[in-house]
Amino acid sequence: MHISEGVLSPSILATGGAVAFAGTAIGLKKLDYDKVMNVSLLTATFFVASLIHVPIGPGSVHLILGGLMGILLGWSCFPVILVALFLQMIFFQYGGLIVLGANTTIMALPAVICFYLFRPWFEKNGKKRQVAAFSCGFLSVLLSSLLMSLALFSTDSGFLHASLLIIGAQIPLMFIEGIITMFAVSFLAKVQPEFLQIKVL
Amino acid sequence: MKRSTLVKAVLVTLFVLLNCPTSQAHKIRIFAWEESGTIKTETKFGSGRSGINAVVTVTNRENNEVLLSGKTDDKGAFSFPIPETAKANRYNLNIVVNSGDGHKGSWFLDAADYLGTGPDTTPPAPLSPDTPKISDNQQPSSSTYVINDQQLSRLIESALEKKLAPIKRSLAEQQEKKPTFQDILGGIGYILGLAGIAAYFKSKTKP
Repeated sequence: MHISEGVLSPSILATGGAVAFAGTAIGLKKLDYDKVMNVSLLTATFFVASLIHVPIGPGSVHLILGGLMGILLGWSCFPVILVALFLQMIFFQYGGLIVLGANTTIMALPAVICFYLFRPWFEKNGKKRQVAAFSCGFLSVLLSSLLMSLALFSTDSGFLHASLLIIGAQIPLMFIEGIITMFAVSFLAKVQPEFLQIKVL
Repeated sequence: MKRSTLVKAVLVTLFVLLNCPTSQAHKIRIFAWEESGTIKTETKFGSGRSGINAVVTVTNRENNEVLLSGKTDDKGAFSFPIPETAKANRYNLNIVVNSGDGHKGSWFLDAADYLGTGPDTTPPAPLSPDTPKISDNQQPSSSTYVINDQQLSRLIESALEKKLAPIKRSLAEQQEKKPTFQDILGGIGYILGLAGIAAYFKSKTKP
């Protein structure tokens, strides 16, 4: 999911950067500073998640956990993902500084969309919360790969074939993310229910 | 009690994570080395899978002039003879791989790496007529060959070439830095530090 330096066109980079900037500003504004420790724990989770490689399917994919960030944090997932991606860039050489904005948007925007779609269900206990969590994990990967393909496609229409391949390669990941998000949420609900209450709206 | 369960779960997850041998994520890398007149490249994803059908472009690093391009085969390998212009002008090469799905990697190959340290001053010469002949009073046996200096150095070079090729390859492969335990801990440390800074400013604004 990390687009490398020098692949995207300047206009796409600028758009991605602008969205990431706006999202980060909103996210920081909405962030409840009493929960800052919980938020940083989630940042650390996101930071490490990309090291888990999923050896299924034709491509090489890794966990993202955007859905989990989205459902728990709402708009605040923008600063979280920005910080985590920045550190991944420094420590693991994933992505790059110029594409940081675009990469943040690709992963954080779907998370926010998932938040608005599923948070009402998420507030309730029981089956509905599990369904919401699974859908969050599933949909965030789907939307992320769509956004990524769109970014590549608008840079160079020759990437169309590759773009379709990306979405195909992410299909197993969609299910895996859905299941992991579901388990993470039900685990948190049992052990640390206040973790789920990081309300941002 | 509940908190300790959470801490345990986090620790177990971290342990599993850090011991997972295939926990390398999505990134493409290419490495190149020279082997008896051809430049060989190998493309791999961060996970260790070969990068199949990725486009490799070779450019001159000084002016970005494209020298040649091609596609990797089903083992992620791509090799090409050293271009004559590059050989003549001692270009420093930039070998770029683009897998088409947003991943790009590059490898710098200096002229010294593929041409040796000095300009090639010993062109392969045919046996010169003034090769020292076996003197007539010695018994010429059919199993004795006389080798002049140039031939000897060429023989040694080709033998070394053959023996050194795998070493060159693995040296090239090892130049790529993989995420280490320290990197992961360092990143987590930074995140906690940021949280600390946020908490500090928060505590200042509170009356």
